[in-house]
Amino acid sequence: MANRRNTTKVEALIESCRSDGKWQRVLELTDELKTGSPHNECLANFLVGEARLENYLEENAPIESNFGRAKSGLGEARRYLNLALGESGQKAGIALDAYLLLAKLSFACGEYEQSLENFVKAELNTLAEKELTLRSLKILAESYAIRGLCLEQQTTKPTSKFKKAEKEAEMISSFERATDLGLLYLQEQDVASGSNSSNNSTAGSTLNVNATVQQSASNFAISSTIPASGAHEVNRRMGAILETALQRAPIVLIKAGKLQDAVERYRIMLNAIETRTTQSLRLTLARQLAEVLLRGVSGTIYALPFKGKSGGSTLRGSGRQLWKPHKYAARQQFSPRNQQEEIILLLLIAEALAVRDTVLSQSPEFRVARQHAMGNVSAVYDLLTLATVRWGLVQLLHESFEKALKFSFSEQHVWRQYGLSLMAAEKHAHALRVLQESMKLTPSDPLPCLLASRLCYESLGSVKQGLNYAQQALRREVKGFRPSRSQLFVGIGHQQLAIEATLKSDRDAYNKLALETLERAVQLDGNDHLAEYYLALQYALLNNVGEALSHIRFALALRMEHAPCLHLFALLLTASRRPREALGVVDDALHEFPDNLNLLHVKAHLQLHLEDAETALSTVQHMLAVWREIYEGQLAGEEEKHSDTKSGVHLMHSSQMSDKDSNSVYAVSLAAVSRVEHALSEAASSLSSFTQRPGPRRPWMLQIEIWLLLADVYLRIDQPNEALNCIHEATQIYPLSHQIMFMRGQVHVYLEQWLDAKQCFLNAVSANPNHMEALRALGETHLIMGEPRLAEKMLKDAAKLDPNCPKIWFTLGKVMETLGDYSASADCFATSLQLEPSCPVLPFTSLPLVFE
Amino acid sequence: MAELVRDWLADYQRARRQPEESEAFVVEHETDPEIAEAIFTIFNERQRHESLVHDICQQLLSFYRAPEVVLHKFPLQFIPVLIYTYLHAVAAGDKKASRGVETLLICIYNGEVSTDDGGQKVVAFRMPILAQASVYHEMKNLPMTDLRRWEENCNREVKWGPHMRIESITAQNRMRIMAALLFCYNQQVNLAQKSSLLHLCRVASQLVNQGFTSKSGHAHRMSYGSDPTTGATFPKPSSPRIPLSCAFLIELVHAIYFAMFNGFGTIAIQTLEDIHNRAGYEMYTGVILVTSAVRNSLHANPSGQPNDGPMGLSVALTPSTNTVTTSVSKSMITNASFRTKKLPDDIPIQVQDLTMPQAPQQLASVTEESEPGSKESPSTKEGSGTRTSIIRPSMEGIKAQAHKALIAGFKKSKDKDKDKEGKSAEPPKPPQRKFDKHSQRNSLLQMQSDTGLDYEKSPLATKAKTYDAVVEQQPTEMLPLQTLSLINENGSNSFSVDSDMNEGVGAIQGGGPPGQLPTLNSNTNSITSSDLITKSFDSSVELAQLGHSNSNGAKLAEHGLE
Repeated sequence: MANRRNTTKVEALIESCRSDGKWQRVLELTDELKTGSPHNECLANFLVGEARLENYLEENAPIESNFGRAKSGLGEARRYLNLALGESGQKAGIALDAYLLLAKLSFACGEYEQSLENFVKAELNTLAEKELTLRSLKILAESYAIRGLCLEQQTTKPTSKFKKAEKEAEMISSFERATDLGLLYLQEQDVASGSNSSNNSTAGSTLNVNATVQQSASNFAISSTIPASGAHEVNRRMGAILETALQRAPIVLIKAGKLQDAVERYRIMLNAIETRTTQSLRLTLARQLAEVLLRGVSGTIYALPFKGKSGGSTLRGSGRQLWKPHKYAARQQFSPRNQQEEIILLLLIAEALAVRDTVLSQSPEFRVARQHAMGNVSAVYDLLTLATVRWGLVQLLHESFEKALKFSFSEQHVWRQYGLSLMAAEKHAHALRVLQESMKLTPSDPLPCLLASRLCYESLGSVKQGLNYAQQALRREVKGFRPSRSQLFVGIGHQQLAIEATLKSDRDAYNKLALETLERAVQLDGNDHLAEYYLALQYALLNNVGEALSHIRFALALRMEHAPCLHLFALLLTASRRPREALGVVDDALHEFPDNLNLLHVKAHLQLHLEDAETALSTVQHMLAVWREIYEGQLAGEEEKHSDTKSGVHLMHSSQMSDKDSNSVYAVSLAAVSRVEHALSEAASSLSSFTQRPGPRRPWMLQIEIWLLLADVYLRIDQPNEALNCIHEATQIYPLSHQIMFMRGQVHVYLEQWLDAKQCFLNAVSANPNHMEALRALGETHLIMGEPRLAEKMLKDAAKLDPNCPKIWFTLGKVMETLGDYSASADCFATSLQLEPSCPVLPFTSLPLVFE
Repeated sequence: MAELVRDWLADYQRARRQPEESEAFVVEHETDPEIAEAIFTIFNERQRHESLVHDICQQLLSFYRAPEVVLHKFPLQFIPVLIYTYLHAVAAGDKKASRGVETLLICIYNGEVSTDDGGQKVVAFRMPILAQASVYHEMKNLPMTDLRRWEENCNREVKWGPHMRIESITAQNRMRIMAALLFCYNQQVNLAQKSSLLHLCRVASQLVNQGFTSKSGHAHRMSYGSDPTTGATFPKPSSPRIPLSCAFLIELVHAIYFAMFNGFGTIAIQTLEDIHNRAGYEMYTGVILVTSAVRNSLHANPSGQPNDGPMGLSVALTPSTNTVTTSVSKSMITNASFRTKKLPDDIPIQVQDLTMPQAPQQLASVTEESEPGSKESPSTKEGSGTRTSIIRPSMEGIKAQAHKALIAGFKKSKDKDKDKEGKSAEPPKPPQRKFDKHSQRNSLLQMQSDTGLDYEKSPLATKAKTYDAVVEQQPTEMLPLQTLSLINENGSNSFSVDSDMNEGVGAIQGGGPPGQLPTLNSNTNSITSSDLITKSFDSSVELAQLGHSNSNGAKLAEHGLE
């Protein structure tokens, strides 16, 4: 009696060991079983065969290179399994399993036909769905998987088209079954091991009691081997066959041209509740589905996930099919409504999974693991990049990369993408820092240097640094298109430095360098309109209008519709006394670029120059309308975003926004003296009126410009009050602009309120000592107020800043005349006369910095 | 070819006159793959067939306006070729010759940006977030940091459009229109004949390469000497560069990406290189991002090559199943080592298991010096479940829930803190000095943005090492949960231990009301400063102490969230 109980117990133990894949243990227990009851021999044969087979396969994966060895290594197992096939086997109900295992064995040996035969014998097709034990579930899942793989690998081609289709259908259904059963098995396994570990202590204790009752010590040993720590390791694996089949199923469908079915298959697999074992599989599947959706499905043929099954979710609960995996079923599930939602959702999940497995340890023994994890995660990042950039979601992208930095030490790709995404998201200063790192990681690539250089010129206003990067880029340049680009950037740097320089010697030196480098840039790339443009600008700055004109024509020949080129061309025409032609050029240009404020600005000035103030007035009004059209929506959007972030409770976000926040002019006008100082210095560095500065401050600055221009126009048509109103509007935006002070002075001059005018000009000059116009106006005012010595000082300062302005020299001549220094006066007048023909309506420095 | 197209033109003219024939024409047209090929050829040799190009455009236009869907969709596959033809003509200053193409493009554009009932078409989607369960995931299995990250995008809609209908193309709106057209092409690219993808690649290469390869560009230098005032015409380069925009190139990359995985791998990869080069030349960061992403995915990762299988998919078995999961993982730090979980705010306390598989033996290794620690460890384990629950809820919730043991232990911990402070103050350690410097920064925002500044000094290998080492010794479950996540997050911002510490300090100084919680401050200081981490463990082994520092961490988080 005790013996009998013992065998059932042993059988139960064997079953549990089979579930856990403890084959060595199964072998031991089978010996026990055999000795316990000899009539169990058939079962014992089966168990030994099974254990040998599984044991072998655990060490040698069933792949092609192992086939030869497997034939000899599995001989023993085959013999045992064949023994279990007999009549007694039929009676014991193990023949089916034995056939299935034999099929597996044949598969491991590469004998596909034989494997398929075994499946036929096992009547795999006719099995009815019913509850199965864990082990049976696995055997069955693997069997379907193997059948699918065998059918796929089968070398003999079916003769008729019909047969071929039949075979294909069979293969596909095998794979589908395999995935369903496989996932179900893994889920059940998870449940089992979960309950196992919690029950373990109690189960162990009852066994212990038993062990004390019986004399056998082996039972005690059994209970001590089962606990979860050991089982855990095994649980982590699902076996190569299952894993292959799970991944293969949708691929097979795609190969068969059933793209929609493949997508649906992926969805079903991902919809199954995840288990500990499937985590890496899910990563692969999520990524692959995203890939399929990105690569093979365009908007029109996309079908929604789980369409038509919306009512099925309730059914699923009650009438769940036994051989289908459990599915996610939460309330308020997010279900993708279109392709983009699905792709991004999948990639987010994949990212979370991939990031979790990344390796932070830098020691060499983890190198392989680290690289593998890195490969996985960067694959997801690449897809995420592809999916998000198109929709302008760089904001989100750079957050992802920021997270990635934790495990991306010295990963040049991640760093570079991070830098690029920051740059695209207009986080300039941060981008520069990251690009610096990227430069270190890719010492031969000039691109990061070039990008950094552009950032410095365009957004950060640090020309010297930008020049450094450009030179670095040039040094790195060995091949490719970009030597001309690097060369051009070096030239731009020199040019900007020359414009900024206050010492004549510096300026001359930089001008010389700029000319040289720009000439070289043009030589390197004769088709680059940008190089020609900057060369023309350089000649213009050097007051060589003829050369400048010929180069700007080259630039325009290379690119006809380039607003800055046309802008410069118009200015150059005015500098050669052809203002009417210039107006024609600007009008034509505006036809192509109706919203270009720079061109409108030039147009208004030209109209003023041609004494056509009325039309200038309408031009400026049009400018205001354009400004509203372009920027109001943008700023409103900006505000909206701000309010969003304020209400949200997110630290990350508000810190990100701070970059832009600091640029908001409204905030500046309210408080924050330091910011005003900052802004003032900014203003000082930009003499020019329309320097393009991205970020929200720029639109407001532009609006100030427009108001001031309007004020100027009103003065010309003798409406000082209107002019004052305009100035008032500008003051509302940003009261401390030196340009506003200057313009107010102009109004006072118009009204002949000299004292007030002087004060205004003084203010403007103290806000920006390099404001040439204000200096000149101050000099004139001094002269009128009878202070010629002071006037002389101011005018000389102004002349130092801009030696090419004839007006300064003319006024200086008058001052000298008043002082009685007639020869100096004559000299001044002569200079003025000489300069006058080549003076543009607006200084060449008013041209914006362009990079396109 | 020309004959074929002429017949096609004539057939349709005839069919239009007789309604009964038009149906036959549609059917025949659908089944005839050659005509599209012929039209591509004509466009390729458009110089020779100028009038034919014009006729084709007209016919495509009437197709596009036709009620039959087959005819309506037919012209869409020519969008890339049409765009190239048009842009090339514009760049060469030959707008007149391209009037027909231009009209066709304008019509298609206007048609595509409108809905059938005349409204403006908008392609929009909701930004998915992981914090909401979906058909593909549940929240509980994902790390909290990931859940939180995209949260701010909740319910945010991402849109394409609405686009205004246009009457004419100017330089200003040209690229915008072309990008929109290409977007529409990408939406329908599945419907196009496979062979049209080949033409797509070819045309894309021409678009980005034209004017870059020819060496004859220098010819016009000859005219430098001529007097500019005479208005001498400047000989134009035969194939001028075509101005392109960032958005347009991104759409082009998407189209190429599709071609790459639908039978034209080799040529598409070549085209991608061309686009990448052009993007680098123009410095379009968005395009470079995308092209380098695709290039990287082609080079060295599991995404697969175009010819690996259908759509580059292949079976990627988890490699080294044995090495990664078993032997190595014990000492290897992965991101998962930092796993923390977020509790939903509205759900009552849940018991969470934070134990890591490798925790037990490490627990012993760290706490061996303090006797009570090893004794206490089981109880801390049990306690962790309840304690994690205090972390998420609001401050009031924390106060309410903080059990009495916490308050009782508070006094004890004060003494301990004092001891610790004394210890830590004794040696003038370098971190201390930095700490002073950084504590002057008082705003959280600044603290965040400052991390950028630390980059250049930080990623020295040695520092990263020390960081790793420090983390390695931490028994994750022993560490108060929120402090752990704090370290974790800081770690993501920079590698340097120093900056971690400074940030932590900054957070406390800036965020916390300093007068109110003096002892708390000192306690957390000691936790975040790297060299004291292990010490704080020793003291935090005691249950009460642990709870105390934990609530502190929660407050920290609270301030962080404000």
